[in-house]
Amino acid sequence: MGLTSNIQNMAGVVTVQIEGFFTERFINLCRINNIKIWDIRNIVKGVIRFKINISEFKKLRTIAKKTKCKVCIKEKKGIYFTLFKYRKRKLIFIFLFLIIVFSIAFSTFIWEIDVVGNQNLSKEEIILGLKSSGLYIGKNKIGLDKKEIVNEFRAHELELSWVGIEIDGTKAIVKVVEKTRIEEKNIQQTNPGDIVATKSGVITKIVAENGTSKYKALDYVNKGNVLIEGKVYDRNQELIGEVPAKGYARVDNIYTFEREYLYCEIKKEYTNKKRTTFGITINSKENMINYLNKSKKYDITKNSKEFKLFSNIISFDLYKCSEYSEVENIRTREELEIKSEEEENNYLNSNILVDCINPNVVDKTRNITEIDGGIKVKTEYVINEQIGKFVERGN
Amino acid sequence: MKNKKNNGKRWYKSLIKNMRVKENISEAKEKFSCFLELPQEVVSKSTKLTAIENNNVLIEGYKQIIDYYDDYIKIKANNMDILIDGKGLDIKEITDSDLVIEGDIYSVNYQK
Repeated sequence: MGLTSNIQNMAGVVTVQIEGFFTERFINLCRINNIKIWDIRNIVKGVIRFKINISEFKKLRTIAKKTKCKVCIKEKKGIYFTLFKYRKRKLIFIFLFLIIVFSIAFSTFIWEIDVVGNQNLSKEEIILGLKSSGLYIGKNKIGLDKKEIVNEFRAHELELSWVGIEIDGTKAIVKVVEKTRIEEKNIQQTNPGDIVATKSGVITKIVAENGTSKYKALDYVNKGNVLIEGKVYDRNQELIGEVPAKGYARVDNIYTFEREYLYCEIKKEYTNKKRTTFGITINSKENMINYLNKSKKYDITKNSKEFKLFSNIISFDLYKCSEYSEVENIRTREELEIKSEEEENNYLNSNILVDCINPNVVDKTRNITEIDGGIKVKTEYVINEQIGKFVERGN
Repeated sequence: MKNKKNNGKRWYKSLIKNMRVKENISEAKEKFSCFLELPQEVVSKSTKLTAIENNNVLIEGYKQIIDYYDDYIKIKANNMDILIDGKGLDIKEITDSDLVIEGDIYSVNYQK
């Protein structure tokens, strides 16, 4: 059955019962006369029931006469019959007509604006700029001059190098390309300024490419102090001129990792009982149909489908809850030491080294002390890293 | 009298000639399909049966339904009759050349 026949069947389908001696002949004649029948069922000998489209029902009359069969309708289904049933209820038709009219009318407006390609400029800023240029939620699509809006918007927003508006149904997709900014380290400084320490520490190396260094190796520098001054002096310590300072310093810093581990650990043991519940979230306020057993514990994972309706964020959520019970697990000292070592390394890589510029781990000292019911691990890292940031004078 | 006898012989001869021509045509068709590796049901008028487990049978290239009961269906195909035995047999779809039968099928028999 194809799509067209399915649409035809939506209009109206009748289940017909045939009674007579020549039911096989009836079926064969239907086939010969190109009358489409399906779901043929033999109820008893001489009585068959099948489905037929209403448009072809009248063609059965001649075949029924030929085969001397009795035709009766057993079931009626489809839009034609429902409309016929409610033909006297005019309000339904008026309501349906209004729905169609309103849906057509409302589809000519823009109900959502989506911004694609922005990095530095926020979506809200762009939408606000578009509003002043003539594109906003509730604007009619008919007579919308995209070129004019784009030109006006670009004239106001200097950070953008290209803007394009695409209308997809009731959604306006604004594609933007921002101007590329030069990275801070690549900017050639021309105004006089100093290199300032971004972190405290003991200086191991200081390189002044332009300007005068204020510290030597093995000096302690505090955060915010000037490392390299953007001033040039002669032998008599008299100022010759001001320059933009350039250079860097490397310092040694100590970072500490400290954590306590208990021999007795509470572990989750999952039972195979799983439950699924539903919920709805309106503007980040969760409403969940909760029929979980309060005396038991659950791990809940949430899947949600989000959409926006008149500046309200609504999401339908599916909660999958897996039941678990808490079990005590006793660990040995060796196990705890292995675990602490793993966590130390993770902490070093994800928390310490990420914030440093060109870091080198110089030294590592590890102390393990016994505490009540567990151990305490304290590890100190000595890290050699680069510090120094250009600050314009007067800022 | 002689003319009548001659006419009868002529008619008999022409009938045999026609049958031979038909046989030759069918042979040529078979050879042609064999040479081009075409399926037999495409070239010659034959019936194709496709069964899905024991609850669905598709018959392609049938002629007419001879008998239709709840537990037995007899279908006339091109060269033979097809007898289907089963329980709760329904004709799910029927078109000009195809027929789909659904139900608990016990056996499919052929009758020449």
